[in-house]
Amino acid sequence: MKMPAPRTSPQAMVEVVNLHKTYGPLTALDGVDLAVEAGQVIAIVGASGSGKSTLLRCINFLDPPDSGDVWVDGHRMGFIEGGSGMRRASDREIRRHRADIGMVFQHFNLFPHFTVLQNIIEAPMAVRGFSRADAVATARELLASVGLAGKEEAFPTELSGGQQQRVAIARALAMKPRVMLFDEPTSALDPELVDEVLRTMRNLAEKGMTMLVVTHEMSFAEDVADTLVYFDKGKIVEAGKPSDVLRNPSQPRTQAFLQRLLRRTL
Amino acid sequence: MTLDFSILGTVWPALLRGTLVTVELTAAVLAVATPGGILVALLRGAPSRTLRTILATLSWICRGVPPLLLLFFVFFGLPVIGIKLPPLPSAVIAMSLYMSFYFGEVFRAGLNSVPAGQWKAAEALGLSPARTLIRIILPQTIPAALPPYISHATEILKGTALAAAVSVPELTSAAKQVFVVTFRPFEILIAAAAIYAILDSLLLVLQIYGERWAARRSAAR
Amino acid sequence: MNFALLAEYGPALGQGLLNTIFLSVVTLAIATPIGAAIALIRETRIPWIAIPAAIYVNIFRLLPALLVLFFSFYALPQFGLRLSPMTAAVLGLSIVGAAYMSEDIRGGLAAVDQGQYRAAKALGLSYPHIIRRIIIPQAIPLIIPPYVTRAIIMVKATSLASLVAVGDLTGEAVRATSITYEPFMFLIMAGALYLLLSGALALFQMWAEERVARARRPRTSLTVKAAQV
Repeated sequence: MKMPAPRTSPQAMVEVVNLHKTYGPLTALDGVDLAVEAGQVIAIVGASGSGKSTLLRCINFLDPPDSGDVWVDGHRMGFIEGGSGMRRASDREIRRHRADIGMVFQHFNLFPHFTVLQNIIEAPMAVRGFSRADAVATARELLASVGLAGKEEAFPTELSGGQQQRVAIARALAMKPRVMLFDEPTSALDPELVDEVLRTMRNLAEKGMTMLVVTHEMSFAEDVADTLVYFDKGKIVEAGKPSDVLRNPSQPRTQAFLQRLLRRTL
Repeated sequence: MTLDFSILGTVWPALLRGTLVTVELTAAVLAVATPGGILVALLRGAPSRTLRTILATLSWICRGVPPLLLLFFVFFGLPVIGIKLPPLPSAVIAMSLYMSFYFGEVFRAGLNSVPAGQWKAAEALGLSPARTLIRIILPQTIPAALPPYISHATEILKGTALAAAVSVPELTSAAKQVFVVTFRPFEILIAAAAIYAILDSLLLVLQIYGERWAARRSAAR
Repeated sequence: MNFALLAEYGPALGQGLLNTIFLSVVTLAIATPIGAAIALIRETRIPWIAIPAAIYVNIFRLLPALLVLFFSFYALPQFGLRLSPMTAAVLGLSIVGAAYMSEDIRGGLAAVDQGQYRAAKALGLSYPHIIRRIIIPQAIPLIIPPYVTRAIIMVKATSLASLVAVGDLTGEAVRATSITYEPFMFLIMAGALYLLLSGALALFQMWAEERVARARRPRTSLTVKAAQV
């Protein structure tokens, strides 16, 4: 069994060490290192196809990486610590660890045949073994916290995109995750619905949730994120305080990207 | 009971003759049902409501009853109206009858895939309706219609086995004729199955190429 | 219409109809679970079970159903397995029907948005749980129309049983026709009865679609907004 690569920030909530991932001839991740402290919000920006979404899917092992390590809350993803070192985790063990990482998708991916409430309680009951009563109570609290109290019995198709995405956030939170991954959570929304979702995410950040957010919303990145990471061709090109990176990008590639983005928004 | 495939050394000429009849039958049905299908597709868009209703009813009946029953119907029915034909042409007529309606659906969908503007543009250029159809519209239906067309062609190929019921000496019936005298049905049916598989595969290869070609054609549009 | 002939052959035709219904029901009852199981097995993509399933499906879709019936009726006795005509017909028709049916079901399963798998996996749900609770309920409405179309094809295909000595509707109609030289009457009656059977299946389709639609219809219609994609 290959030994894990040395970690530089063993106290981090999420640490990614030298992560590689290819799809056939396509290199999606080309040696990514990233550490996220507990309670930090990381905004990940970059052109489409730059590998940002792949990074999120590798962190929760939806797409296991080809090489490199992912540590979440002191635990090496995909491995189990045994008496005599590390062994590869079984599917069931990977699932259990994956459940500690919440994920929110661009297209919400709510289960259309379930009501809002059923969407939220399904996994806590099936994976965490919560009783129905407990799961429902948690779900109601979460729905209230994302501003959707009273929508328990609605079906996803009866909700606006912004409401659906807030249900999806509540669904992920119901698993009581240590980390939340957001994969372009507002990209599929009509412009007037973006704010309500960003507000929900901001609340979550203020409550101290560790978050990795792939986004094109630069103002959100600047206001909420502790660190902004610019991604290009499967690599982190630049990382730093959002205001610094946005105002004074040190890398030419970052500058070019921001200019393109600016031109599009103007 | 041990298997003895050496029997095939004796019976292969019969199976080969059966195969040729199967291919012949398939080709004949395709040759009749293809124009038949185009005709059905065009008539389904005809202005006459009565005509469309009659056609829809016929289509519903021919596609709703078992092909075998239709085959018997033609086989027993044609002599009554004074047409005496050998089994093979009867089978071609029966199979073409219902396949025309299946093809009609395929071509209808193909015609619908051509934007209405194409008719208008051709009309504006002063092309006759017939010329518009043949030169402008039909070629454009091919990308949409080709894949289901070939998949129906494989249905025809497999469907020709039914002709065994009216003593057309195609492959299945040839196989039966030799296994009832040799008492080696398993070996002979395996051989027949292999031949069908090969013929089908040829059509499937055609389908793969056809689909690729169609995808490129519609992407180019 | 010759009523004397009808009275004479009516009972045989009725028995043929019963045999056809019996064949259809039994064949569908066997082919449906097998087809569904094969579709699910192929979905797992676990090679040692998925590949044999794929081979089974693709072999039987290449062959004329009649040939498969000949196998079960004429070739199995070679191995000491002598089946009654009815059993041989059920066996052959079920084997072929299940192969086609698995493709229809697989198509429905594949049509469910891939994002549903990803979201369910991200929540830590197990594969069997995802299939049972998330994918199948969404696939069923997509499967109903091709399933019923396939069921109608399979009902029509039961007529092949007449060629392995089963007295089904087609068999009895052809027998009456060839004895009486009455070319159209019995065949038309048989045809009408087949259309009735297809019609019954079409009604079943409408009923099933309505039921599925009702199961997920919102209870309050006031809050309905346009569906977001």
